[in-house]
Amino acid sequence: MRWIRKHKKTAGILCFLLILAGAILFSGSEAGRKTAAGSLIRQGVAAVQKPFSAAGRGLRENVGGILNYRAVVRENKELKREISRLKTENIDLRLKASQLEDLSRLSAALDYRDPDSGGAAVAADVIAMDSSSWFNVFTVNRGTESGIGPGSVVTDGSALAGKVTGCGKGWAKVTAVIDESSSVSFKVLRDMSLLGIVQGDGKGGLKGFMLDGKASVIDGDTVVTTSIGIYPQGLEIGKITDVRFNNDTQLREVTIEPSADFKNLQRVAVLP
Amino acid sequence: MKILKRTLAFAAAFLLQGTLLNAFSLFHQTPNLLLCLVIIFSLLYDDAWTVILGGLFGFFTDLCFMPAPGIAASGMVLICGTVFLFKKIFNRESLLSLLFIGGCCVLLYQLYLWCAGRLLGIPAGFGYWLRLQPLYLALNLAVLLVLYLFLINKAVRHRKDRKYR
Repeated sequence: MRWIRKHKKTAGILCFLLILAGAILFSGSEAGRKTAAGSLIRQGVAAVQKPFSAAGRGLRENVGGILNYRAVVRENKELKREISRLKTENIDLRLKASQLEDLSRLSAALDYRDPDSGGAAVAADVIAMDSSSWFNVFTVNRGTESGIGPGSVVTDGSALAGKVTGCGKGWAKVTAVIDESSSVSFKVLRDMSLLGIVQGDGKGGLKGFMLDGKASVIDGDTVVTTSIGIYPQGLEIGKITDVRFNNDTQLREVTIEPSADFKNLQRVAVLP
Repeated sequence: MKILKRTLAFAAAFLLQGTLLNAFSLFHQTPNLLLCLVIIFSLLYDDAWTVILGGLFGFFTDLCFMPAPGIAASGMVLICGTVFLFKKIFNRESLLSLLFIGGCCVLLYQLYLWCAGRLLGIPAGFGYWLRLQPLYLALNLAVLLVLYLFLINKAVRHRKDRKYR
């Protein structure tokens, strides 16, 4: 006891070190387990840490920018360049969208049908046919509900049959190509530069003339539609059966036998 | 025959004409059932219902098959009037009368159609028209004969016929 009274300071330090050692050993043995003392200590530490961490953040944000000024300016320039490029791209895309919209409107106004679009033809059955020999009109069982309208082209699957002249829901009236009111421009399959115009002769056939009086067409030549008029190009019309030169009109007249069998027409394809 | 039955007969003829009958065509020609009904009903009955029904179903034919309305309708009315005129001269209970009246009416109707077609621009000539008539006439007369044999027993006897004087 005389030694502790003579060396009070040393005794005190040794006592603190013993308590500290005890606390370390206790904490080590109780690690991972929540205890009342540990919670209290942590709460206290957190309470003290909060203001200090806020202060440190403030210093980094305000003072650090001053210290990294050059890097900030460089990053600002890069960001401005990127914004400018994106603005230009945005304007370009908007212009293209507007042009596309204009083209779509023009296409609809002109009733343009893209020949390569591969639009689906509507299959229809012939439900009624005129039995007189004078008028070549028949009715099919498809109409406006299938997108068919006046002027729609009708084929028998491969050859031109006629065009729709009237329609409603569930029906369409078709005037055959052999009707005298139908005129079709054609070109010869053997030589695509040979053009002509043909129409019904009133007897179930087709009669027409070549645009060039010196055109070298022969019997057996196959004729197809041109892209002039309402009919899409490439539809087979028929075969030339007679060629003669008319001295009065100076035109080379042709007689064409239609490929479509109008007397036995039962099923057709309508191009809406 | 009652008006309802006549109407049904006309309706059946109209429906068959452009559909089923085409499947039984002879050299791509078929008889005109509506025309045959108009002729036979006008011959056997004295009322105006045949004119009305013939005109009505002729109008339906115009809507379905003709490029312009009124061609078939006016043609049917014309044939009705022609038959009424013939009835004043000929005995309607004679088969020969039927064949003569029927033949004249069929030719008249075809001629009328051809003239209407020419007005609308058909280039077919009179010679072509003539070539079509024999078979067309034969088919229509055959149908008229069948209808006559079926309907004549139901017609009221005409007391003014010379056979009954």
